[in-house]
Amino acid sequence: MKWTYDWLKEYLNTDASADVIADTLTRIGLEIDDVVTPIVPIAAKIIECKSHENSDHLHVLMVDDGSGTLRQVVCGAPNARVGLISALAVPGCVIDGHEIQSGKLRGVVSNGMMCSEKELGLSDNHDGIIELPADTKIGSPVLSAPTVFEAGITPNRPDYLAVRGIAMDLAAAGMGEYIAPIDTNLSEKDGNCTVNITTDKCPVYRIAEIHNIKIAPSNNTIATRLRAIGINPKNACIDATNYVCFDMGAPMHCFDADKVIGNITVRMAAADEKFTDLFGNEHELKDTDIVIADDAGVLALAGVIGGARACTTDETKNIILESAYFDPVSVRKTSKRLGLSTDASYRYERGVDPTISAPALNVATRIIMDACGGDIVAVKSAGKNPVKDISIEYSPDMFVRKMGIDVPAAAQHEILAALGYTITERGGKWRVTPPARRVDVEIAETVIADIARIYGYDKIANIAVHRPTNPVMPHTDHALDIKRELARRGLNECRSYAFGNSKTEELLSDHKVVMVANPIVSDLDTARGGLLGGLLLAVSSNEKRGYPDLNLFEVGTVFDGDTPGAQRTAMTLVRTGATGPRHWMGRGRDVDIYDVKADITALMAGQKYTVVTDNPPRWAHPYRYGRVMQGKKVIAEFGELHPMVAHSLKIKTRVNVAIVGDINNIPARKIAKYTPASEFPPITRDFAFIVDKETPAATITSVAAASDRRIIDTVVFDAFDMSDGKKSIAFTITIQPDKNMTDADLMEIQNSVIAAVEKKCNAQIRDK
Amino acid sequence: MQEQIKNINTLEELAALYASVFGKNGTMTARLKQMKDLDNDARAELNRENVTLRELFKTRQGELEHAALMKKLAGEALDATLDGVPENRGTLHPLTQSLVEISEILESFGYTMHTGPEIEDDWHNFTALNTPAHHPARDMQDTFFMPNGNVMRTQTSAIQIRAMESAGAPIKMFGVGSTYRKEMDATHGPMFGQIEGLYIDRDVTMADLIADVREFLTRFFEIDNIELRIRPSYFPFTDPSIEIDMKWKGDKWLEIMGAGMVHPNVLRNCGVNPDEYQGFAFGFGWDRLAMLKYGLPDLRELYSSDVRWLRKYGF
Repeated sequence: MKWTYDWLKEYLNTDASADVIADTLTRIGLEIDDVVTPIVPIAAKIIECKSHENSDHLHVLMVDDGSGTLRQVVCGAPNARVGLISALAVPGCVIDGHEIQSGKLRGVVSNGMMCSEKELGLSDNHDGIIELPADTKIGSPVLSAPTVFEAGITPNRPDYLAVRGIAMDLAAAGMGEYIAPIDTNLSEKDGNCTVNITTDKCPVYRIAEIHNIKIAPSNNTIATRLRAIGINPKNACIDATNYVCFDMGAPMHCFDADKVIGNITVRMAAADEKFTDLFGNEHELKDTDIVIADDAGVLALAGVIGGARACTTDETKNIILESAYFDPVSVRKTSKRLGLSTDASYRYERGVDPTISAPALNVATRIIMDACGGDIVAVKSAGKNPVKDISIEYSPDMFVRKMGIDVPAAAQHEILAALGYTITERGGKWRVTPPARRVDVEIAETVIADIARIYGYDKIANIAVHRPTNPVMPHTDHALDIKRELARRGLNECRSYAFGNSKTEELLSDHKVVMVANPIVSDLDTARGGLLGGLLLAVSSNEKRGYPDLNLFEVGTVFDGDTPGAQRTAMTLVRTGATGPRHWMGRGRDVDIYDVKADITALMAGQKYTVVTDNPPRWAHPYRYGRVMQGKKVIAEFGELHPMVAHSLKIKTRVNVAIVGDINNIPARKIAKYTPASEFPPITRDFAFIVDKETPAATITSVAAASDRRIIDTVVFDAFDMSDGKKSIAFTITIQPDKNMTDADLMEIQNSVIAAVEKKCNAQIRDK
Repeated sequence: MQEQIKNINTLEELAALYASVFGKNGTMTARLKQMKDLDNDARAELNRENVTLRELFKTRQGELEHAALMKKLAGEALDATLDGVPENRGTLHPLTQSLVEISEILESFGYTMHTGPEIEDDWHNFTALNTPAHHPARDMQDTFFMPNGNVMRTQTSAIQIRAMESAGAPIKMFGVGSTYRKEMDATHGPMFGQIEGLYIDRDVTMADLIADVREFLTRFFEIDNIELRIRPSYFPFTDPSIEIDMKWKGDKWLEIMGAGMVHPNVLRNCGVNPDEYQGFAFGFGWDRLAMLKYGLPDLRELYSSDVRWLRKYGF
């Protein structure tokens, strides 16, 4: 919503400055985004007038703008001459929607522009620059410079979409005296045309038919105000409807009466009925759209936009003015479906003052006839104002209960009266009725809100004291424990938008892709099913920036479906490039799957698990992949990114990945059970076995570990492939003695390890 | 003799000289063998000479040993100005860090933390929050829809609805998580974090709301005498509704929070009797609070996974 300071003053007797008004409005509920005083053209006298060297019609002027130094301006007007006082638009001035700037015209510097009457919006005269009277003060503004307010409207306050509504609130807030408009209505007058309503979505519809008008521009006040709020004045008929829309919050429409065939009916559109709007765009209508129709078809889309057929033109002689109330939800549905948001639909869908249609018709008629003449031939209406009978039970003590501050009943009464409420009192209980324009007030809470905003929230804040309460137990944050462990291990936590790319997701996994119906961009078209896609994107972008050695992880929500709760918190990490930066001690080695496996096993500390390698997913290198299991439950997966996947995502480096599908599957850290530390030092023994290449190393070590209860740990220290489809696995076992062990005792353990591994793993001991 | 010892520069030479003096056939050894033939004075003289000489040898030996050690250590010299062993320092995301700080404060005020579904049905995201279909307030948030009509939640208020549906009143909780709006420009991304508090009991007032918010901001930003501006506003789920601005670095007002007294329809929708219970809700941008506190320049970088940024601003 935009309006000008002088416009506001028509309804508010005030001395307050524009800034004070802006600040007050922000504090009482209308947030001011901007207060702008535009630069306007000023009177300037031509002191020198020479021909332009490179042009046969341009002049190079030196003008006196009152600043003390002459200004050079290039001008093409035939009437430019020494001694003439005309209008100078300096750089920064906006003329016809264009900001004037300093520049060169055919090689000559021009610091501004001299303006015609048309450019100033004063008339259609564009034959030359304006000739101002000889006694005009040099440097004085040629046009009045209205200060423009721009405010953000909350959806509940359509009454703020009218200058008079804003003035009334300001008066209630002590910013001056409200100058109440005296609204009168036109008397009904019969004419040829009749008006019918056949839908309950239009409670009231009024017209005034005016004949024999001569289309003319609006008066200067209206034209200036409209221009200041960004609406180009056209002629008094169009301007009147726009002006009343902003002044009274009443959207109106103007038809060319000669193009209306027969009678006017407000009805619901027939399904598939066609309509061409005044911009020439054709729309297919539905039976939920309210239309204004004549005997030949649709004239206008009610409350949204007028049609092409009965549009007024410069030749229009006879007009029909419309003022009505339309159902907010219907207007909103139509406006949304067709993507047509207009000043009219914006107001109707929020709810216009149900009593405003008759006075608005009167005001617009007066504006038009003042400028264009004409005779009122008909004034008609159908239906009646949809005034809701609202009476809210209220008592002043409700305020202290809700707001925690006691405001005396008299003060509350005064505020409500100033806001236009009517109040009846009986035995301490009040019945309050809001003014008709306040369609948002239906319950006592809103009455309280109204009193509070005018009373002043600062006063409430001043008495507000923090009441200490018992703290609750801090939440257990499993995700945070995991994040801290990973950060300790040198990984950087990232976060990415929880959208995925369907193509990438299908490349990475065979999970069902969860599509978003209206994605923000086509390559973020899913609610992500995993975190890997986002991390791979991060790998590729960091790689492009020159950072190929990456250790990244994300803990975040992933989606299994599009219903509430079909989600998990997952963790995915990637490590790429070298384990460390280039350094005088040598560069780190290349990251491999054992680095990311170590990240997972760190999270599993103290837990038993197994690792299987079958059925690698799409993202994984089929021979560099493992799945961490507890029983039949998958805890995590790790492996190298499939080179084909890396290739299609344009990633050059090898990426090693670990995924925890649901962090709740990572068991919380257990507090270890107390066992007394042994007094006997541990003993180690080394073994080397030759086994089939396919036998997992973990199978061999677990068989070895299971062969004697005193074996507490096994570590593979050497593994290499041999030529004949076999491989060598060498490992150390750690024995925790429970007594002083003899060589014979140790030999016994050693033999049972060899026997078990050879028997169960088809293995052969290399050197005893 | 004394000069001779001082001029010896190797342990080997010193050992040889020592042997020639105190060895089996050493000069001093020979003289000491004759000692019994000497008179008392001469005997004492010889004894002094013997002790002095031995001490001289011992001192010189210490000196030479030290010199030898120093020479060996010099050979082991390392350049301490070379770079230390590099480490990959891991970091936590600023949003993780800020949630730790935020939840600590809210929990100390008695608010219990909740999370909830990020894909929501119409009821929990809109209708229960007093925003029925075709309400103009739905325009306040551009919404992502799923093909089945569900939405990516536009606000964490949905968490409050679920909490009240299951626990009823009284309740004191805060919901935290990502929210989604279809917007992308210099200051908005399609996803951002929100944190929303809810406190419903028999006598919870607007003054309590303002006091809790002020105390929270004071502790979180560690600013004494925090200056707030409260503006009446509109949210479908609160009435009265307010927005809270904070004076930032002494000059401009920053919009920091939306809040209000929970609308009776919302309480009713969650099975709470509004004649018996009342209370407030407040909500703020998790990202925004983190940005302000840690001086992060651009909101969109939070989600850029740029490793330079993560290392610089991570914790």
